[in-house]
Amino acid sequence: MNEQSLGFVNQLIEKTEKGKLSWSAGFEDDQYKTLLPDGNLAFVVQVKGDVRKFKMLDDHQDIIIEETVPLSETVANKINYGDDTCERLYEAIGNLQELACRRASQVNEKMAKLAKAGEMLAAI
Amino acid sequence: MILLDNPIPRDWFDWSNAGVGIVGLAFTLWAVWQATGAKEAARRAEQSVIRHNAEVDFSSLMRMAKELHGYVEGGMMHEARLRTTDLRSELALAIRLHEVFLGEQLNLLKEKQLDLTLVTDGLNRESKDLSKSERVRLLEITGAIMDVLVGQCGKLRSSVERGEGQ
Repeated sequence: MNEQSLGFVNQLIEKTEKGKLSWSAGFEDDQYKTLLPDGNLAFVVQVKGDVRKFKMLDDHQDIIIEETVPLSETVANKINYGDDTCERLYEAIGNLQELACRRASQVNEKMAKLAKAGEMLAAI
Repeated sequence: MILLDNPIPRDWFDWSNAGVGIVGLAFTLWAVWQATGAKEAARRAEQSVIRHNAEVDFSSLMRMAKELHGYVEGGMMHEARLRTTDLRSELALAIRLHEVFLGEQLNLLKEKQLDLTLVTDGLNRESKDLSKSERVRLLEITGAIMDVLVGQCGKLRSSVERGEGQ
């Protein structure tokens, strides 16, 4: 499941970077959600201390994928089995959450408005 | 033989036969037209009943959402948790049943359904564990759900009153 989840998370990162997905704050702290335009799939991402969570839900809000990745598990998997999938998933969820946070708080849009305001003031 | 030799009665029979045939055809067409109209009227009545049921269901959801928001405002987290679970399942059912009437609102309602799912999961923790920002967001979420359901209910009610589908 980890490999598949990693694929989904990477796809979400790509789509979010291209501005094709909009994210909004979930209920819990540092939790973000997005719904695909047709409403058939929803994704939830959360960073809670050293635990990173990723969920995929169908149109009836039933969970299709639920990943809870604690940092300790990534270290253990790498040391015991030489498997870094868990570590890559942990990193990817962190990156996605950061991007989602930026999209949700519309950081880029606000920065653009600030830059424009600066230009307008300078032009006076 | 006499009739065949005499053209007048034969014409008279011919004309009456033709007349009866035309009248029969007219009655058949009229019956078909009536049946089509009756079928259409039955379909419209069915649509009207379904739309009315949708309005009743969304009115009930709206009341539940108002109650939920009230519980959250009053800090009654145990009641809020129970109401959230009820509202979540009832909303899922209403969306499935009345999807055809929801139009552009469907995605918005699905988004609210997702919010309710996240709130249900979040509230399963002890309420005293909720951070200040989570409490604020909970109030915002329940308020937004209430607004969306009130709007949807208003739309359905006005379409029922306008007699859409009739």
